[in-house]
Amino acid sequence: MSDRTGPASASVRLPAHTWFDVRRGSSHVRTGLPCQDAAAVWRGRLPQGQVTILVVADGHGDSKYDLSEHGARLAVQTALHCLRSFCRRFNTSSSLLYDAIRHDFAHRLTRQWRQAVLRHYSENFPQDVELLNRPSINLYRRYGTTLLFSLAFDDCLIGGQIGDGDMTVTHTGGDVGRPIPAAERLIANETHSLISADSIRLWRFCRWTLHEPCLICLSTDGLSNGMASDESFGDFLRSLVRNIEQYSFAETVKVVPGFLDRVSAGGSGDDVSLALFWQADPRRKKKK
Amino acid sequence: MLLIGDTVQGLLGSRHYRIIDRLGEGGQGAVFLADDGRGEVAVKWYHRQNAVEQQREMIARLIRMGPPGGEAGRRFVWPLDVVTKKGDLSFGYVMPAVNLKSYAELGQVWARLRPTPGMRQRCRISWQLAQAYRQLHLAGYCYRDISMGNFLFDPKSGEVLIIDNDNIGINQQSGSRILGTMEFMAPEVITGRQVPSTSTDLYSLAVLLFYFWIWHHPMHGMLEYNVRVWDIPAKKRIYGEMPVFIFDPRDGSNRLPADPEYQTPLRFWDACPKSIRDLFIRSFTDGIRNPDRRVTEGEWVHAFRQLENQIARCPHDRAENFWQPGMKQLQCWHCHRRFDAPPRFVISSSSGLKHVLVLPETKLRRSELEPFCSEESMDEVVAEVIQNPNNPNVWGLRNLTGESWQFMPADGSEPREVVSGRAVPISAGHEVKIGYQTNLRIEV
Repeated sequence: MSDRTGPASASVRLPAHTWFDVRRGSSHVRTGLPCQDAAAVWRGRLPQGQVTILVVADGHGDSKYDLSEHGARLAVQTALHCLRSFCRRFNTSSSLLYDAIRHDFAHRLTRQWRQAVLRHYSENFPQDVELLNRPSINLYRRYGTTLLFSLAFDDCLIGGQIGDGDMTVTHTGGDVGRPIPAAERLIANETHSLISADSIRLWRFCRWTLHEPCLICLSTDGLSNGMASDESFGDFLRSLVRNIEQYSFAETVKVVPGFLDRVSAGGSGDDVSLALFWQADPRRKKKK
Repeated sequence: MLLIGDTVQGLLGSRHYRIIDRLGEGGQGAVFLADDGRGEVAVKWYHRQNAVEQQREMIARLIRMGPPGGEAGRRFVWPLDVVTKKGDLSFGYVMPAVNLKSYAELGQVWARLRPTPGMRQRCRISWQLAQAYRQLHLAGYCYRDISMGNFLFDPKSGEVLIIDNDNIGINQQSGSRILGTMEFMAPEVITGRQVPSTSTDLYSLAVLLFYFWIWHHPMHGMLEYNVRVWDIPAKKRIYGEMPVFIFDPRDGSNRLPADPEYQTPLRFWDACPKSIRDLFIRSFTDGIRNPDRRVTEGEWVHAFRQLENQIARCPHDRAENFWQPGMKQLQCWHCHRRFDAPPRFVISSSSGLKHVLVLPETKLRRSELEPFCSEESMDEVVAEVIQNPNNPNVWGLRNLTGESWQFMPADGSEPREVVSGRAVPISAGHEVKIGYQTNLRIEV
């Protein structure tokens, strides 16, 4: 997994920067709740070439999901492991990888996440022999979380999502694309998640051709919910791109954590996670 | 790659198409909404690695030859023009725009983004799908890449559209870079013994229908569940080299595992009518080893059209249940309570016996009474169940054929003529002679 900040490993052909942060929500700070979001970025060389994976997860907030911060963390770790494994095994073409992810990722991930949850539970609650011997949905429910990932290589972005959260691709011209369109919300702010009945069928996947330069952005719903409108969310993304162009990626991300804290404090109070991947245009750099 | 605002040039009609929106992207290319000055069309633009000359020639040939004829042929969203862009090595093709507000993909229904079609609509979607492929095969084409992503349906009306028709080829003639999507490929294609053909399309169609009804892959059982390294060799083994159907009555080695994520298919299999289960069993047992034993499109059409008329709602919870010949009672799949089967019209014609449940909304279509009618007139309503306005307990079947029927009462009294517009009472044992070859009997 990459560092929390800073440019990813250097790539001559495609200079790229990645960054992520997980901010504890203002209401969580106030009430003493842990941060229930998780995020990670991985960038490295796989058979596809230089691959960048962004993952964010949002553990459920209600008291009946009391271990959801672990659920989110385990989901992020499992997703990274699973995606890297898919990249290694389905590497002859991007179409093959996309098909494999679309058809097989959800149930492979769900199974591995459940195994990870069971391991975590047995390590932390070894005395609960009855539940460990017969793990039921009640156990997994305590770890409930959403999950959102993107995997980028060459000009190809493959994404997947269960539950809420936002995946966007913002170009220098100001266009904000949504590879996975926002779905209608469920009743009472509920969301689909890894613990939903039939969860493997609730995933949505996308493939998207990237135009450089662009900013791929994954965020939990704490960010977009904390904004006044969809337009404000779009403005925020466009401002990131403008600042990256004007000042550099490293300078831009320095001020983002403070901004995320303000969004949480002034909005829903929810945790906020943000993962970014900036793919600069090498041709532009040459001109400079 | 295309961007919104770009213009592409048609090769056949020298028309220009302005890209106005991005609709989606798949393994082969991205699809855009475009304007040609006369209205909206869709443009599929290939990823560079898929934009090969053979593909371009095949599309041009499909455009020249045109879609299959008839009503079913219109369900194919057929290519209209090949397009290129100056300075871009890739190319694309134009096709009619589809109203994506009405039509859904199966994955969208699974993700609860679109409504789940009712049982009647599922039957309609299924037979329309099979009928479309039948028409395609009759025209000498094979589809070669039947999969979940290539068909759209209207969950409310049950109408079907087949998209991504650029991989269609001439059966046993045209070469192709496309072997299909592995989950849907016939075992002999996966193992490299055959290339895609109408026969392998039949296998893929059965997989697609299985996905549509059971929401699962027919080979995803214990054998798949126990694979630790899920890679291409593993997929080849499960789908091609040693495929075992999860509901194979003679081989239990690939049953569904006792995992909550694998329980949905079990539930849907139990709710699936026996006639359809039997066809799936044949498709994925004998049909794996012997392509000649595969279920034909006509068999699917016949089975699903039959079922469309055999759906009864549970009086307790309104759940739709399938009646099958011989049933006096049904057990609701949802609340598990039993209820009496409704009366039936038993229609005998030169094509055999048909059963239609007598329900307040029952309408008989021409295809039910005249099995060899034209495709265009199949859906024409020729009789309907009505309620006597003076006595709501009395029901009748109104003749809308335009010709007289001969009514033979159950008590053996003299036959009577029923002119068009009049009705015969619905009561056990009554019979009606319709035309020269069709007989309708009321069974309770």
